[in-house]
Amino acid sequence: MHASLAGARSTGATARASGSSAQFLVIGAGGLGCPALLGLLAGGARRITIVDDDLVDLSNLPRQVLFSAADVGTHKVDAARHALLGRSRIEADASPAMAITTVRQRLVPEELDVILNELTTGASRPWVVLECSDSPALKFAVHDACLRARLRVVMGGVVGWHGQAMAIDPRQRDAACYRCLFEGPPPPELAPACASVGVAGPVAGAVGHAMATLAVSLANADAPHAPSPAGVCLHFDLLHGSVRRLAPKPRPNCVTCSTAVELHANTQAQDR
Amino acid sequence: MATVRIPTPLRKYTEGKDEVAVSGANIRELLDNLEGSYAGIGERIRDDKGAVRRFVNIFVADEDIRFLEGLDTPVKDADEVSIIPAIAGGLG
Ligand SMILES: [Zn+2]
Repeated sequence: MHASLAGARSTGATARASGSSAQFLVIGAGGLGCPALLGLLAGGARRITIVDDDLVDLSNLPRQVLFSAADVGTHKVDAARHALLGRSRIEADASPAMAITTVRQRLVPEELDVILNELTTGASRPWVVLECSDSPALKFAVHDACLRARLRVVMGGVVGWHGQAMAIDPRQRDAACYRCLFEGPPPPELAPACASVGVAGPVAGAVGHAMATLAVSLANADAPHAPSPAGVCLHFDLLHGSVRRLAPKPRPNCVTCSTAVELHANTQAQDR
Repeated sequence: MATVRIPTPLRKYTEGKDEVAVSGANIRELLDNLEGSYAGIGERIRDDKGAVRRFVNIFVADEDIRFLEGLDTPVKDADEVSIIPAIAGGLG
């Protein structure tokens, strides 16, 4: 399943090698972030930055699978880092060494441009952002900020037995962004809170892993002739055992796409 | 009648049913009839001006109606119509 999701026929070894060259930024270390982080580790990621301001709560343990009872009350980013380093210890001699950076911060939309700029400036390797927060407004804001900063991003969400994971690459003009598909976030009164609708726990695991797979695949897309999942949204309806591939066309009047194009007109000319 | 796939958040309007059969020559009629059978569901899909809400996408078979004829997109009996909202929840 991973091979087909990533559109790659690569063996495990080459897939791992490619995942290792990118820097992944995981926003939110909760129900989606935990499986996404495990997926990144399995995909060979060696450099990961995790952002979250929350503490591990006893109620998190069944679904936020990186945490154990001993972590209750500690910062999620620290517990996640510890768990990931523990799992990669067997590869301690591997090069490059595993580097996990943590940011204890609650992200707010107004500060995203500055934060993304601080984190990514000067890094020569490609960044891929995984949006694993639980706020619809923040999700859309992170998406837009990533496109302004010309960063690849994977969006994810879960509700009930349904989930979505979408890969976006602002350098690929022929691939849709998240707002080409959904123009705006649901207003709070119409967005079902997870607490009221609930989430089938394993759905978050499946979507988190799909996000990691798409992220590794996006990171690989720089290689000549490499397939890219950009513009593809996987829609999971796991009550019916269905995964649907939506590949919307870019919407000509998409504000986010056109803003990104304007901001980076010069960079894009250089790419060609 | 076309088959309409109902997303999780809207199933409270359809007695929990995940798909319902609805008639209508085009998407507009189909949504009107859906509201006729399941009161309250319509305003979750369209705003007070009748436009499809910004966080909702409607697909006939696998085609986005925005790239077909919008609400005037014709619907055949055997068609499957999917209402797909942005799933933007998570698990803090
Ligand atoms: Zn767009």
